[in-house]
Amino acid sequence: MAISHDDVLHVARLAKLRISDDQVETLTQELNTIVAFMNRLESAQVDGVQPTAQVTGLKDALRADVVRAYEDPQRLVHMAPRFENESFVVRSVQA
Amino acid sequence: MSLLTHSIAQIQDGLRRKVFSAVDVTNAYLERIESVDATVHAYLLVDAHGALAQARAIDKQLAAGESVGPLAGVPVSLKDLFCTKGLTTTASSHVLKTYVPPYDATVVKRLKEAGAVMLGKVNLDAFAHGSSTETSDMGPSKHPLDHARHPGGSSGGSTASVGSFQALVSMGTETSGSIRMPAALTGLVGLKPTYGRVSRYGVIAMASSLDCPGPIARTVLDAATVFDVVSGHDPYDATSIPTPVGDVLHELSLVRATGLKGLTIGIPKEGLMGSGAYGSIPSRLPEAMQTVLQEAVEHLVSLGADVKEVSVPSAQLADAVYAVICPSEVSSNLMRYDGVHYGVSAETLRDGVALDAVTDLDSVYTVTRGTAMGQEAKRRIMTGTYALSAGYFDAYYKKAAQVRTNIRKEFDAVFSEVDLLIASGAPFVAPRLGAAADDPTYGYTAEDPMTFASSLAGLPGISIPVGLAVPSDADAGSIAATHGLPVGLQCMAAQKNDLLVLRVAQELERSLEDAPWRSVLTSVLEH
Repeated sequence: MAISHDDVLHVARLAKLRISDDQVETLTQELNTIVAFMNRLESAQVDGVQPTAQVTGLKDALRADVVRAYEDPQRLVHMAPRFENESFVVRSVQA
Repeated sequence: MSLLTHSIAQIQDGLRRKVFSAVDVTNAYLERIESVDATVHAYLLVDAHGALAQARAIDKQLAAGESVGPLAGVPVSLKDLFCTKGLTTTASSHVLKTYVPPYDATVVKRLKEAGAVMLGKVNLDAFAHGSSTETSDMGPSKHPLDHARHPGGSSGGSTASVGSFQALVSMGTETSGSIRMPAALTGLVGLKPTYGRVSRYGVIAMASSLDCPGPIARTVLDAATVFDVVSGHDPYDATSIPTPVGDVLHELSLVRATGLKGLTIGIPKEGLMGSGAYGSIPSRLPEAMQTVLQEAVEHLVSLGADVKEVSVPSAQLADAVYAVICPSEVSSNLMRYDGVHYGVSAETLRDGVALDAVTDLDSVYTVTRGTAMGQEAKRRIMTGTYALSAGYFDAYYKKAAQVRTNIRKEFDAVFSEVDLLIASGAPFVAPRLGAAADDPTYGYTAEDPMTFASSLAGLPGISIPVGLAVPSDADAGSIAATHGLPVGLQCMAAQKNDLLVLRVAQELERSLEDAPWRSVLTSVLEH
């Protein structure tokens, strides 16, 4: 199979997903099925073709650089599981 | 019961002539929800209090002789992907089950300003990842005509609610097919506008280069009336198209003696209706569906359209392109659910979580996401992360984006030849619940190839009901067996030609006005 258990564990780390041992097996099988589906792209001729990210051709849609106060910034912070006054509280990067 | 079958125009007329009040209409819908939604499961949240308050405000304005908006008193359901200020917005995911947005999506704001009455929030596949509502963490919705089947997806709560007369119209969203396909499955009209015509601001993001909000309704005119209200430039969405949409309702009010004369309609060879030659829709669709779609093509011809076969060669790869671009954008967009800012968090999770696993910042992220994300969200995040990771980016994401360019250019060439394209609204009639449970690629295969191709090119498309077809797996005595289930035809046009697809859909709808199958769709009101 193209994608191994180790690949799945590596991708899960990049994706910030903790997955259980039995999920590793399931996801390995599923990702192999999906990647086989994606591999049909191999046949496409795209030499020199520019990639498309924006389909309607809009570029640099900027609005005026004007500061507008948000009515209730505390409300946004208070949706967090842990906060103090107007700040989010997070754990340290290293335990 | 009769209030439930009124169109938007009939509601407006009745309110102005004081035949009924907005509160009467709202109550009729709330009673309908009360009596059938325990079975259909379209709604995740019914806001009876808020809906009645909105209705009373409309009645007060009318009594005072004030002018009201074009959707005054119109009961609307909202896919639970639209942020609603003060009302829980879940995306049908455990991740957001307690999320109460501090603001309204632009679509919601415009609907409210137009006088619409918001009945509540309806089901979808979790984060809109799916084609059946079966990936919803809140359980699937049921097909209005057959409760053993699903109403399509991801906007399946929208089609279940409108199809079972629990809302007059609904706002759905489409990334590729999530409006058109469920509409086709339930005998409704589903409009997927040009990318950027309707603001994405306040719509929980799935794949940002593709996401399009759009209406689901029982008639083309109802869909157009909602589109007229919600479309147009929005400074809060940088991909919103600044040029005007045009006069939607004027366009649809014109009575053209010439019908569709002068218009050329293409059937792409690569779509499921394509064949080789117009006149013999072959192969890949079930035979009963082919017959219905063939009749619809004959209606278009009798209305004066020229029909010919065309080719969009790269559309053959559109599903594979979508299977790369969609999860890639998903993996990026869903990274925001980190357990730090809002939504479910490992910091507060209790059930089934070993809290000693939460030690540092990284474990807050991984435990939150690993515990609360459903299987389909995990699959898409993992697929996208893989496609974007070092060593694979060129083979997958970049190549998919290049094929996307080819698809766009081929459409440009085709639209110098024809005005519109048609394809099947969905590749099947409504499947049974559970039919796709073991297929991890279902979300990338449950559409006509032209649906994927047109979404990748940002084109407008509409699916409208054109008949019923009996599925091979119908239960004896069911509506599916005795009458059949709905079949949709979709029309697509070049970018910004939303009015053209609406106009053609309306002409076709008129020509099918007296079709006997229409009464099957309203028969759900009898039980």
